[in-house]
Amino acid sequence: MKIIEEPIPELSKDLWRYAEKPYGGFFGNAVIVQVIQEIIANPTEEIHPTEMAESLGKSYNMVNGALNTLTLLKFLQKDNRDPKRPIYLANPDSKRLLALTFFASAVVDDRDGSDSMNEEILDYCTEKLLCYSVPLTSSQFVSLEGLGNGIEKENFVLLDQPAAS
Amino acid sequence: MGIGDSVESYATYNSIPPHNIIWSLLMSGIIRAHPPAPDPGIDVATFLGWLQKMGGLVMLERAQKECKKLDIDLEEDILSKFSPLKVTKKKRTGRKGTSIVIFLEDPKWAGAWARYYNVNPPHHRHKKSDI
Repeated sequence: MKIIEEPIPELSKDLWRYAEKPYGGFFGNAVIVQVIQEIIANPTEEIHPTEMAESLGKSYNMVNGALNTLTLLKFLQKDNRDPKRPIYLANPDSKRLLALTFFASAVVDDRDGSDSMNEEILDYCTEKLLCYSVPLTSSQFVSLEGLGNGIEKENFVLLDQPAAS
Repeated sequence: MGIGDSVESYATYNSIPPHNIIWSLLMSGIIRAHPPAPDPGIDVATFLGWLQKMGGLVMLERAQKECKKLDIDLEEDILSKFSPLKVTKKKRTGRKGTSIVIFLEDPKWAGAWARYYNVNPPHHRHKKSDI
């Protein structure tokens, strides 16, 4: 039986830039931006400079320089247990890591009209930020608009804000 | 309870005191409502989460490399099951010739499953070793 392969559709020209440049070129196409995109896409993975240089098709020195800069900025942590083969890890406490993660979804949302960033923010709020909130009594019920996705009314208030009396 | 329902009505319907700490647990459960079918499984969801963060568009060779890391097959585990509605292969013809890219057609679906399986969230600790 002869297998007929379906023709591969052509990618529209306005999408080309997303294949060529990180974030569609929003921050340019510098090596450090490419490195950041890789980290954001895989924040729990160990980063080896040699492997990343190969993956990006860039020189070891360029990638290593970018990784060192990001380490100085506390975006990455460097594991020097083996000085000949340093390993870098994303700093999970970095607010910039978090912000850029939301940004990466915003890039796709703006392009495709999806709503992934809001859902990620909502997910993050329920997983990480609820500990900052205390429930109000029903008489103190407040409405926080703009959270989206149906959770438009919340009866929580931030701990460092005085509860309405 | 659906995502569109109000939290207040859910708590009332289930007779749960909204001032209880259970509230926050419930909230987590509500947000983790089952995403729309088809279920890609955790490994493919990890790939989809990665693809979404890469802008939903990567060169074929890069996608294959990522699949290899996850021990999945791009053609067999992803394209044959989820193309053309969710993930597709497209070609790009330019001055340098033709190249093939992998395009995420449904980022909402991909993001929902990546969150459902909780794969690679930035605020989580590392898989292999902590410094």
